[in-house]
Amino acid sequence: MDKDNYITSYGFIATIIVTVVGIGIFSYPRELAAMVEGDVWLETIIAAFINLILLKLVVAAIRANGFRTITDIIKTKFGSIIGAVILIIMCLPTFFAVSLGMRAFIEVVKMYLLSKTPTEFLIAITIIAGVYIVRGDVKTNIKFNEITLWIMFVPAFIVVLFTLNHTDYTNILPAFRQDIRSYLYALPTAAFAFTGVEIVYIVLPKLSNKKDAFKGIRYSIIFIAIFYIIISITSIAVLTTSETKKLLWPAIDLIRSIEIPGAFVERWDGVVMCLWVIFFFTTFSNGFTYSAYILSDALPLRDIRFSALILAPFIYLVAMYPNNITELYSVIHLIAPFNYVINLLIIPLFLLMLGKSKNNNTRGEEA
Amino acid sequence: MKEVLRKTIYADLEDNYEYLKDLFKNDTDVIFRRFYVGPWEAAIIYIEGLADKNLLNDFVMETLMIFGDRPHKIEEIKDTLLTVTDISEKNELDEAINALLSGDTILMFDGIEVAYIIATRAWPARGVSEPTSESVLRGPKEALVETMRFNTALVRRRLRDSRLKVESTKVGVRSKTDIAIMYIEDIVNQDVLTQVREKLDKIQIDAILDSGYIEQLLEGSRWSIFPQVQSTERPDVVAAALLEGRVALIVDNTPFCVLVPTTLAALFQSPDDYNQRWLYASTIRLVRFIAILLSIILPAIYVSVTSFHTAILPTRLLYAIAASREGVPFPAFIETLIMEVSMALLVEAVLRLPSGLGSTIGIVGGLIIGQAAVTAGIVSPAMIIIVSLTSLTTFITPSYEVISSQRIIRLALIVAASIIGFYGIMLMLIVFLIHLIKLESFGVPYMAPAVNTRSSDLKDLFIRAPLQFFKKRPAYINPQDKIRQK
Amino acid sequence: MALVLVFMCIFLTGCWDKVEIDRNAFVSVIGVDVGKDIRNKKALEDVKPGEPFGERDLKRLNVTFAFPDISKYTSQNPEISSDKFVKTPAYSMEDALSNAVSKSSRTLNLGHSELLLLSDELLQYPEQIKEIADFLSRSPLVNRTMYVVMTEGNVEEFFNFNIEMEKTLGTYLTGLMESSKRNASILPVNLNEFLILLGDNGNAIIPAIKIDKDKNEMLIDGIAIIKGYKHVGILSPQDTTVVEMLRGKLISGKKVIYKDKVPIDFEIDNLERKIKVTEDNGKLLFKINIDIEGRIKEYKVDRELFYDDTIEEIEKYFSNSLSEEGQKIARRVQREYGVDIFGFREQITKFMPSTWEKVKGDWEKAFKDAEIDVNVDVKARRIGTRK
Repeated sequence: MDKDNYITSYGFIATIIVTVVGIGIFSYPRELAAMVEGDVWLETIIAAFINLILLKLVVAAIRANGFRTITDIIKTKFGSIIGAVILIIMCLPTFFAVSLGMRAFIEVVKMYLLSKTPTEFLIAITIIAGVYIVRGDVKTNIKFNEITLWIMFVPAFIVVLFTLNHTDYTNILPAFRQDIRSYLYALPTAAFAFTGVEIVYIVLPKLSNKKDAFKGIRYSIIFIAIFYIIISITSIAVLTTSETKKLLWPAIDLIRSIEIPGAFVERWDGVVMCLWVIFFFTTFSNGFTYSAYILSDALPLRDIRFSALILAPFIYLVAMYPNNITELYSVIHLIAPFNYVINLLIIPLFLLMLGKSKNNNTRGEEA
Repeated sequence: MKEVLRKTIYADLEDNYEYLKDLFKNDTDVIFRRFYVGPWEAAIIYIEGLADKNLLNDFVMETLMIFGDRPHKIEEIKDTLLTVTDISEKNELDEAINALLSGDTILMFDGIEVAYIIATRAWPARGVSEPTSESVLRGPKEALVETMRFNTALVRRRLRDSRLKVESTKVGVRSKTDIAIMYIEDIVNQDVLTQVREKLDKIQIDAILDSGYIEQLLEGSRWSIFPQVQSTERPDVVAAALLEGRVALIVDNTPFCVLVPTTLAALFQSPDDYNQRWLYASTIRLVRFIAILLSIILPAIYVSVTSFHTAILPTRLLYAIAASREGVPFPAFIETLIMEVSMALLVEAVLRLPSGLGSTIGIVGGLIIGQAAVTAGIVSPAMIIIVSLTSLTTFITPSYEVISSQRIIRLALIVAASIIGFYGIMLMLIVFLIHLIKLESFGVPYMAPAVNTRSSDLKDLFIRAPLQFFKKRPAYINPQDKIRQK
Repeated sequence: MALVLVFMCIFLTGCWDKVEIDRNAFVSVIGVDVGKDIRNKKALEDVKPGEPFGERDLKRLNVTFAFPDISKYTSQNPEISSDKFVKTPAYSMEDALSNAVSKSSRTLNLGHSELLLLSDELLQYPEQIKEIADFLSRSPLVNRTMYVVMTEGNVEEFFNFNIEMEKTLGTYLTGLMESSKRNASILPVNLNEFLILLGDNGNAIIPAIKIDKDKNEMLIDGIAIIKGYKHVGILSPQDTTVVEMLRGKLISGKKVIYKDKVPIDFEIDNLERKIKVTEDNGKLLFKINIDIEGRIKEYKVDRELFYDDTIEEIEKYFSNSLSEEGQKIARRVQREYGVDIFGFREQITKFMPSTWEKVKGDWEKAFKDAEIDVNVDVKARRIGTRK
């Protein structure tokens, strides 16, 4: 196993999946159903496509630059100072996303599990746990992802199986009845649900078998899309579209509606909440690692551990900033487009062009 | 203080003899004997109790004294007269003295600057008996003993391969404990081997009294709750480890052999898993896995469910628990702590008691204390159930060191649960998981094969695939020879 | 460093959410009655938004929280001997809850509640019901699987009533709800369904209970129809069976016909319902087709059933009788109450969206004007062990 290129393709896929699927799935059915009623699955598929194309762009861009790490590429192209500025801009959206995401998650925890514990405390200890994992460098995080992939999705699918009893799939109908504009407006929301894919920037250079990169991103996006579709459709099938539109976190209420008479645990919401801690934590830790990694190279701090410590209080501040949950979600929606535009559109295009101009013959075959 | 021994052996027997006599002047168990071998004067020195007197009498003294006039030169004596198999020459007196202290016999002649070392080690040793802590249903019931040579023999018996190497080294300034480094030279991971050799060389302690010392001095991370080497009493476990490409350290004076590198999975395996058929083995593995999880989280779940998240239980069960806790003076958290501590005390006590009393006290302690506590209203019956389940599931773990680790984790989880309920349990578990992921044992990730997974390694993790599928050795140890079975 | 953090966590924090289990009162039944000020709408209208409201003594609701007396509950004797109550007048559900908490020595835990009782008088005030529904759907800790029942009369009477079979009201009623699998005249509705139905269009159906003063019994009195958050009518238990059949939710039940002056009892084993909606120039035609399978349970000892044509004849009689009954009840619900409890609206919105566009403006009128056609086909599969 090469010291520098140690990620297997399984690790690669696991990282992407686990980073993207976070607490967004709680509210995803609502956000989409509010705009397109039962056609959530259609939107998700289109959004998955868009993300796949953008990711391919990223991979091509990095490949055109010889699979060097993103910090390397940018610093060599733009010099240390400007490069540092660009890098900081790159990591900002992710940084905001994970901090606000953490706040959103803690809100859910407070709502369903622990109403009286102060938010500050919960956020603080979660940040501490995050710092602990980031200190282990990207390597630790990847291994963590490999394990948590199983822990997250096997129970998730089992839980979905249990809901099948209460489902009425005709709730999805009527289909395709919405205004064409709603479909278009819903597309950004759906696409932003895939945020987190920028983790590819730091994972791809360490992938041991580079040829598997395209296959890897394809599998991950397909998996994520299928998962989102299953959760949304099941929510609608059990709760009906109109109810799904009204509940803040329909996926959780989906779980609460499960009844397994005679089982040891009668109401599963608490148990499933625990599993969803892992969903959140993987997204959080990967995003944190990403930001800390980029920061550690952007500023002259050599070690990712320093940047982690520096970022920690900022995460706390940002997480505590919104005053209530509606403000929280509006800020999240504000930030989401930046991530996409900067990280997945502008940067890769830049890099592609610059890479191409340097090495004219690196345009290989698309996998 | 450093041990200072004279290095030179003089041709004059008297000189050497007097020096040795002076060195051991207060030791009544060092025996000195001067005699004549033909025309030459000789002396043997040995330590009573460590050396085999019969061998000396029959095969050294007898032949030397009776046939002493046969050889023409002193130098011939060794090759023609000394009817012993293991004899070596030493030119340095300190080496000779070390050999003497290890149980060999020094034979010196007047007129040559050489000391002959006759291997006569024979001390009272325990016979091969059953392992104390790792018993199996199917498999050999032999355990290693305290003599390093016998132990290497027990392992050699199982691997009659010329590529099995037994290197020796001595560690410990005063104890000079023999340590055998065993490995199979075309399988072993050379990196690990080099690391082991280097680390052993660096040890500067005065005595190695048990392989536990070696374990602690070798391991990478002192603060971790989990052991980074595996220790075993069973020669078959050692042999299996060698076949995977690992290195075994057999330490004199202890029946516990140290195996490096190790992974978390290895600590939860037992030879039964391999000696039995795969269905049974897989079931047992799964049960063991579930048991371990349960043993860590059960008390914490009890605390959080009863204090924080009562909505989870079925209503009738909730009433039962609530009713049983009426009148109990302590909150669930303290109750759990009390029971944890008493269980730990009980286990430790039973361990130190002579075996006859041990089981009785265990039952008495458990039943009576538990029952009395419930009747007195100090703990609730539900708590007793939790504690007994926890203990049962804990003792499924094959390795004792891991049991103490489990105890610590359990405690941490209970504390976390009592502060913030389920979320605390989850965060704590995540933190432990991260710790395990970061941990490395001699370069091998501790959580392999769960991380860096290669699909070929999964066949031995949660289940045990049929033996026919075990074609390659575990990849995470990176052995040289990868094929095990065709 | 990790150790320091750990110690900090342990010593500087408190266990905020910890409630010892025996300090909990697990509310099992929530009963809501009208309070004395329920009619006092004027008082509310006078309040300007910025003014402090809390001091006004507006008692619009009377809420009772019943929780079981667990102290006598042991494993040898797993029976709840009686309920304890906390009654409090309040102006809203949340107020009731906080009042109750201030009155009780234990924390009120709503996570295990089994039953919600709403008095019929309360259901005459749609605004109040809307507030209660909002409180229940907003609170994450409320048990969404609890049953909702309307009481004919004040909830307090029901609590004070002495039931023979069970010790507590909650146990009795929930037991009844759960036995609906065997008894078709009960239609249990849980909170989740109730809130979803109400949320859709303010219409719902919930079971009703009443106390028969002459016979001194508490009975389930069919189902109450709620329209626009208001209680508008009751269907008797017999009608309830038919309604269940029309909704396709009937699992088992019995029907009887008279043939040659002899009653023949028929038990329903299986029921499948299909609805079809067709539109003819703005007028809707609802067709309900029901396939029933069952067994004949009681006839007369000296007659025989074992002939093909006898059974066929009986089947035809049942089919006709059931179709007619179904038609009658359906029309009645349609004309009198105008509440679509059969699922036609879903059928149209899902499968005939263009039609829905046409009628959704005035759905109630379209529903009332529509033709309902009920067709039941009965098959007697078994006749017992006798010819």
